[in-house]
Order: sequence, then C-alpha cells, then structure tokens
Amino acid sequence: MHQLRFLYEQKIDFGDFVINHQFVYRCIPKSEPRQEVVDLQVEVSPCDYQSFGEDGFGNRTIYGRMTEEHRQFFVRISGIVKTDWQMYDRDDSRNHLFIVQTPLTDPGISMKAYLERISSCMQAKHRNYDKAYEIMDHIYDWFTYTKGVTGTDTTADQAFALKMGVCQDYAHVMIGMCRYFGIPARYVSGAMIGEGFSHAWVEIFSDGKWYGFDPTNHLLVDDFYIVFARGRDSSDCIINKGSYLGRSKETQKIKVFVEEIK
Amino acid sequence: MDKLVFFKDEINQLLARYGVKFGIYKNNEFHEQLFPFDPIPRVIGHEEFQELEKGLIQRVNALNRFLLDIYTEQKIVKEGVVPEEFIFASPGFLAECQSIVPPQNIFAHIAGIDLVKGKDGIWYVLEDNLRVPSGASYPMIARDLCRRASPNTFRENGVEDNRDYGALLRKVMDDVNTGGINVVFTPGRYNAAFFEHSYLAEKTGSTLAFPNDLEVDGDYLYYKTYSGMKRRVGAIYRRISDDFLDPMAFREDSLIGIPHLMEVYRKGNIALINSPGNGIADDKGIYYFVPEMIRYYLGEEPILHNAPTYLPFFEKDRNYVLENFDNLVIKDVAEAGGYGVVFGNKLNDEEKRKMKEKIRSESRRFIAQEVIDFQDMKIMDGDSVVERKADLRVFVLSGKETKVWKSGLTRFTRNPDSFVVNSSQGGGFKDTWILSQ
Repeated sequence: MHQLRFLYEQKIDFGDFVINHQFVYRCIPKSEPRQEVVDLQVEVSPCDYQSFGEDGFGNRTIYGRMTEEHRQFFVRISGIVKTDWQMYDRDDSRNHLFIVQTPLTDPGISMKAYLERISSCMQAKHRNYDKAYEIMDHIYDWFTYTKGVTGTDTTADQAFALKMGVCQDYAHVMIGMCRYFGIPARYVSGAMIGEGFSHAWVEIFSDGKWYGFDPTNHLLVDDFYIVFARGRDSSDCIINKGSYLGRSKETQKIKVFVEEIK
Repeated sequence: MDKLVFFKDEINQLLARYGVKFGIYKNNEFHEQLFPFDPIPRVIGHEEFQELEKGLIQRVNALNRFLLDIYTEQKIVKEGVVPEEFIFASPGFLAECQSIVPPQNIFAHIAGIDLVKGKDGIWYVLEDNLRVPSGASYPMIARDLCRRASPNTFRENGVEDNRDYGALLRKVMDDVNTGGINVVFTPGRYNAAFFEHSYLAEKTGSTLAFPNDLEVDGDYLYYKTYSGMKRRVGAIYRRISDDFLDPMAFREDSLIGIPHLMEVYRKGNIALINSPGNGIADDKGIYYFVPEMIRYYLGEEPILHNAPTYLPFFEKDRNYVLENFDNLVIKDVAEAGGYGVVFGNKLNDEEKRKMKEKIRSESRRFIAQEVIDFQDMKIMDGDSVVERKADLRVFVLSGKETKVWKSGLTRFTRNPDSFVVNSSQGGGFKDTWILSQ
C-alpha cells in the first residue's frame, strides 16, 4: 500500500472576454477497491456555482457555470489517495457493454490482418489475463510512442496503421484487440507517478477480477496510478468539456503530477 | 356525420387559422404545410377498444419494465432473452443513462403506439414510439371544431369525449414531478410540431419554455422569468430529441439544449418526460422481442399482435427473407418517419441484388415484415368518396397508473397506391371515435 499526493491544474486564457461559460471536469478520483481518497480539494474560479456529479459509468464529475464576462479560468483539483493494487474490482455488471466494440476501438483492415496472424497463438492461451499480456507485448513491439501524429478522434485502426501514437492510441488498440478475442476491456484515464500529463491505460476482466495493463509503458498497473474515470473508450472519459460565447483565442496550461508521500 | 362532411372546408379553414400545421425538412429546407383533415371519422366499437386498451396497457407496461431493466440490472440480456448485440451496439442505448432510476420507475410516459387493422379484422402493432411521439393535438383540436360544427353528432352517436388529454397529461406530469413547476420545452417556432407544443402547454396549464429559458443552477433546474426571477422546475415535457438535450452529455454542438441537465436528472431532481435513452426500446430491431418481453416481465401472453417480423440477424430468418424477398417489406432499423422502408417487389433486379447483399453483410441493420393487407378507409376527395390506407396512433400515458387515451390519430396516405402512412410523407388525418357503449 502507498500514499500519493496528486494535482490536476488547468489555466485557460481566452485572450478576450467570454460569457455563458459551461464546464464539466472528469478528473476527480473516487474511493473504490484499489484506491481510497483521503483528502480532496477543489478550486474553480471564477464561477457562479460548481457542483459534484456523476456520469453513466459512475465516474465523478465537477460541473458548473460562469455567466459574466471573464478572460481567465482556473481549476485545481488536488488531494491524497491511498492505493493498493492487490485490492481488485470484481464488478462484472457491465461486462456486456465492455465486450462491444466502439467506433474508436473497432479493428479495421489493418488491425484484422494482424489479429488473424496472432490468433492461433492466442488460442493456445486459456486465461484472459495471459491473452491480454500477450497482446500488450505485441503492441509494445509494434508501436513507437510519438506525439503529434494522432488526435483525439484517431481510431485504433488508424493509429495501428501508423504504428505511432500516444497513450490514448495504445489503449484503444489494446482494447480493440482484447474485445476481438472476447475479453471484456475498458478504458481508464488517470495519472501516473512523476508524469506531467494525464495518462490512459486499460483494464481487462479475467477470472472474476479486473486487471490493469499499461500498454504505453509495457507495465502492469501497480500502486503508482490514480484512476480518474473509466468507460468504453476515450470519449467516455473526456477530462474537460466546455462551451462559451465569445471570440476567443484560447490557450491552456495543464499541470498534472503525482508524488509519493513517504 | 353528413353535417361534418358538409362543414369540411370550414373546419379545414379554421385549422389553418389556428396554425395546425406540420413541418417537413426536405433538402435542408423547412416547409410548413397544412395537415388536411378528413371529416369521415374512424369509428372503433366499445368492446373492440376495450380489448385494444388491455393490450396496449400490457405492452407499454412491459416496455417500461424493459427500459428500467436495461439501464439497471440488464437481466433480460444476461438471461439470453434479447441478444446483447441488439442492445449495446444500438445507437438507442445511451451509456449516459446507466443506473438512473426515474421517478415512479417510468421511462415512457407518453407512448404513441402505431397500429393497423388487417382485412382479417385483427389489429397489428407496427411500431412503438417511445421517444417524442407527436400527434395528439390534431385529433384534440379537430374534435373541438367538429363539436362546434355539429354538437348533436357527438351526442347522438355516443362518442367518448377526447377533451381529457390535457388532464391526463397533466396528471402524469404531477405524478412524476420532483418539486417545482411543470414545463413544456420546445426547440422553438421552426420545429415541425411547434403548434402541438404550444397547444399542449396551454391544455396542461404548463409553462411553454424555449431554449435559454431553462438553466441548471447547482443541483436543480430553473425557469427564468422575464423579471429575472427563477422558478424551480419539477417536470419537463421536453419536445427535443436526446441528442440535443444536454450538450455536456450528448452532442456538444447543440445550441438548443440545457447544459448539465443530465446531472440534475441523475440526482433525481427533475422528471424528464419522456426519459432519455428510450430509443433502445422502440428500435425496429427490438420490436421483434416485445412479445417475449411481455412474457418475461409480466408472465402474461401478449394480447396484441406484432406484424409477422423476421430478423436477418438469425440465420433461419435470414434465409427466409432472402427466399421470400418479393413478398416482404424491408426496414432499415436506424431510419424513422417512413424513410428507409422498401418493398421487395418494387425493386428492380440490380436494386434487389444490392439490397440482398446488404442484408447478408449488415444483418443487424434490417428487419423484414410480411406486408399486411390492411383495411381501406373512406375519405372525401373533393365531393366524392375514395378509399385510402390508414393507420392509427394510440396514446398511452404512464404515471402512477397506465391509461389509454380514448381517441387517437388516424392518418391516411395521399397516394392511392402508397402503403407508407406517416405525416412526414404527406397525407392527412381523421378524427378517431371510440364508442362509449
């Protein structure tokens, strides 16, 4: 078991005045089997109100509004989380959903050719866990971590054809492949120790438990990860959505960090 | 009845004056057209309607149970009664609605069930409309005008009064209201059914709200008055589709939605009439499973008949569809409003080949139905009487109780050889008389 301090901070500079700004954030850890939130601080300014909510996957949200003119906007979510990777989530109530491909995960021509090649060696393995491990190995060999070549709308198949991408693409490809072999798989967004950005990884269901795999780093998820949200793919886990009226040339500064408290 | 025929033109003129119109989007242009009224009513006998009523209540109760199940425990899927492909791959399933239990467990407060009567005298359900079914206002106002034209007609014929729709709807709103005013929420003047929105607001004593009149503040929804006061809203009869309802949860580019409405709904602080996510139950593919649903949830035999339907998804059905292609009508599951409906025998060889190919490759996307030979109805064409195909939309309202409105919208085709009855495709409507004894 470990104790982690985390921070998510976003500063928006609109460059001009905006009004009727609506926002929702999905980067608030909640207490669950593998993590316990012992302290949580939220600062949103300026705003008319902010409120805690929840989405269809049980992820926590913070939503609110700022009606009057403003040029800057600031959000800071920080706190302390105790993690223990040996505590498994055993909830299988949504597994029917996590087995169905989405437009972002669905294997197309390039992925399918590859999947057919590896399918005999997959069939030789019995546990979903072993299959997922094998898939993670394949992805690690196939992909080169590269920023700027993919975007938020890039599908697993497109990224696979490029052989390049970021954590979101690694996760989509792994989910698409797992589901192809009948393994329930879900997208996880969160933060990892030391990183300056938010992170994304995968959980797969095997032997009655959910296991965390981080294909980007070729790692099994341990105590040094904090979960923000889960869903079918990245579109269920969007960290920040917002809308406003105004002619803006928006710039954003995002700071994310996780450190261990010893 | 002769008197009504005599006053046909006057009634239609009054309908036009009251703005009883129907809007159609075609080629990205908005056309508003009159919805012609035919004075010869559809008459349904007292006992015949009693039987229909029982069947409709049973069907809508099962559909509400299904929606509750799908968004909570999903037992019907886990027990293999409905294959998961028909739920989780369907655009009608909204992940945003998972785990939400609406007030009184009701999802489909207003259900518009489309039926036709076959030449065999049997009523067949063609479609369940559980999202935003429109059309109740047409027979309401037409009846009102007919009564003015000839009050005696209704006294002498023993016709059930249909002027209680506003009260029935109001009762449903009050039954599910979470504390606050009732609101009818319209996307605005250029919506196809704007007349109906304003009319129903008036008849239910609700506030007619436009986009920007409603705003979430913290955990509740408020209506902003002209003076800047805010009044809490407890029930919202929303006449916009799920996609546009909340830009923070659904389509981000929606300018007519209410940001964060879904958060308030999840907290149990607003009743949404109808509930979002109902598209999973009125999907043309799910229609096939409704009789099974009735057995599964209610332990009863279905009273009403489905039109004989085949799902190419199942191999046995697929073979049947391909072999009997010419006798069937093929419907694209994703389309509505009479679009995406093709009759097998109306296609040329090339079109047939393409369609059959699609049925093989995208089997989940289509259903096929036997063409029901339904009864013709008499309508006035100028001064002469001609026969046209017609269907019937019955409105079933669910609050603390499930009730069937003793009237309905009878629509007929404009073209004598058309089988597609839908207001979006032209045509007109009739009053529907339910006899009181």
